[in-house]
Amino acid sequence: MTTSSAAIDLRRPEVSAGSRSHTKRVAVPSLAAVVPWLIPVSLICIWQAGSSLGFVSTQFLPSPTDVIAAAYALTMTGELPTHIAVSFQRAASGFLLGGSLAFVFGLLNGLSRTSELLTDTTFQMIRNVPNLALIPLVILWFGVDEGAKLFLTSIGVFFPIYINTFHGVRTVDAQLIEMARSYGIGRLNLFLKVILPGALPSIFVGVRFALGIMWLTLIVAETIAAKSGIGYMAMNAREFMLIDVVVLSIVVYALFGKLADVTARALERRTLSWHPSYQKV
Amino acid sequence: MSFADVRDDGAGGLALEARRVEKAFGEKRVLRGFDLSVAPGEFVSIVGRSGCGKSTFLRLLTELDVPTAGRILLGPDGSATAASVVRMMYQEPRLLPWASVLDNVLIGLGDGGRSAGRLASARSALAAVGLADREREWPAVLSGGQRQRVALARALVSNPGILALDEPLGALDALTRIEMQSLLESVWQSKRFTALMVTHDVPEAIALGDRVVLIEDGSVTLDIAVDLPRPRQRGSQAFGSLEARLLDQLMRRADSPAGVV
Repeated sequence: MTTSSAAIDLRRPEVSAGSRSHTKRVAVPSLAAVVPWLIPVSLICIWQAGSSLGFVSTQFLPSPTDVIAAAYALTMTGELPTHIAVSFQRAASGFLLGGSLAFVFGLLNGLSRTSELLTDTTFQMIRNVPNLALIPLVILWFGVDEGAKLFLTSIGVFFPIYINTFHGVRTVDAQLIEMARSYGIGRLNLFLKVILPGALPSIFVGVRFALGIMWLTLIVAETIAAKSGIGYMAMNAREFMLIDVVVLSIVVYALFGKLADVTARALERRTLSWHPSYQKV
Repeated sequence: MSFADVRDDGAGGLALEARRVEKAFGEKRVLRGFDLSVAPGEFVSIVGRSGCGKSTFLRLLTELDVPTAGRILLGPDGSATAASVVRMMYQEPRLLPWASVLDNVLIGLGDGGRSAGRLASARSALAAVGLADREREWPAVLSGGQRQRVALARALVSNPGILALDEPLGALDALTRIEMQSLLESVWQSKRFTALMVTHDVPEAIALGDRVVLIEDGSVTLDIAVDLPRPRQRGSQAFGSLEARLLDQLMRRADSPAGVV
C-alpha cells in the first residue's frame, strides 16, 4: 500500500498529493467519530453472537435482532412513535417548567440578598427530600395524570439548575464588576454583559445534571403511574413477558439520554466559544 | 453616560487638585493632609513603598471610595465628576473573557449599542495601541502585553481628561514592559490627557513622569520635576542621579534595603 502510493508519487506527484491530503482530511475526523462507538458496537456484536450460538437464552435476554424486530413491529403499529412522543413531551415540558423556574430563582437569589434570605432555606430543605419519595403523595394528588409527571420532573430538574445558576452568579469575578461599574455600565448591561456570561459555564453544568435527573424521574414516574410513554410500554410488556419490548424500552431511554447530552454539549460549545477549554487551536 | 459625545477627540487633559485629603479605615489613617496639584496634560508618576497610600489615592480619585476629609477637585473650575472625566487602568487587564477585543473596548464608552460612531471610536482606539487587526479575537488568545494594550484602548476610547494608572505594567515581563512604556508615552504625547501613574519601579517613574511624587506615610514628601528630553535615555547621567536621589529617599526609612523595589 505504502510502496504503491510512493511509486505513484514519483510519477504523478500533483495528483497523488491531492488525493493523499483528501484521504487524510476524511480519515482523521471520522476516526474520532468512530472510536466512541467501538465499545457499544462490540458489545452488541458479542451479545448477538451469544444469542445466535445459544449461549444466552432468549427467555433471559433477547438477541439484538429480536429487539430490532420488536422496534420495527411496534413502529408499524404506531405504538412506539406514540409512546416516544408522549415521553419526549413530558420530559421537555418538565424540563422547561422546572428549568425556567430554577433559572429565575437562581438569578434572583444570586443577585439579591433579600431574595436569598427569603427563599434559599426553603429550597435547601425541599432539595434534601428525594423527589421520588413524593410519588405516593403525587399519585394521591394527581392520579396518573400528566400533572404527576410534570410535577415530579420539574422538581427533579429544578435543584441542579437552581444551585448552579446561583453559584455561577455569585462567583462572577468581582474585579470585572468593579471595572464595568467604573465605566458607567448600568444595571441592565452589567447583568447582560458581565454577570450572565460569567455565570453561564456553571449554569451549563446544572443543565447537564438536570437532564440526567429528568430522565431518571420520568422513567420511574412512568413505570409506576402512567397509561402511556416508554416506561408504561416497558411495564406493560413485562406483564405479558415480552422481554424484547422491555429491552427495547431501555435502549430507547439510552438513546434519548445520549441525544440530550449531545444537544447540551453542542449548545455549550456554541455559547462558550470564548472559553479557553472550548477553543481548538 | 454620554461623556464620549461631549468631549472631542484629543480634547486634552484636565487639571486636578487634591486639598488636605484624609482617608482613614477605622483607626488606620492611610492618607493624612495629602496635597497634590497636577496641571492639565501633565504626567505625574507616584512612587512609594507598599501601604503608603498611593493606591488609596487613586481609588479616591476615581470615586471608588470617598475621602474622610478634604476634597479632590477636577477640571478647570473643580466641578467635573470622576465618572465623566477619570478613567482607570489596573495592574490586571480586567477584560471580559466572553467579549471580543472590540466589544471590550466598547465597554469603555459606557452603556449603548454598536452604533457606527461608537464602533469607529473603538477601532481608532485599538489602532492607537497597535491592535487594529485583532478586534475579532477573544482575550484568551492574546499575550499579557496585548491584553494590557486592549485595556489601555478601553481606558482611552472615551478621551478621558485624566487617566489613573495603578501599576499598569507591574505584571508584565521586562521586555514587554519597556515596549509598553514607550507605547504609553507616545499615546500620552498624542492625546495629551493628564496621567497619574502609581508604580513601584523608580526608573519607570522617571522615564515617563514630568514629575515624580514620593508618598510616605500618607502624604507627599518629595516632588521632583524631571527635566529630561523625551524619550529619556536610561543610561544618561542625569537619569542616574535622579534615580539615586529617589532611591535614597525611599531607603532612608527602610529597615532593610531588601524591602525596596
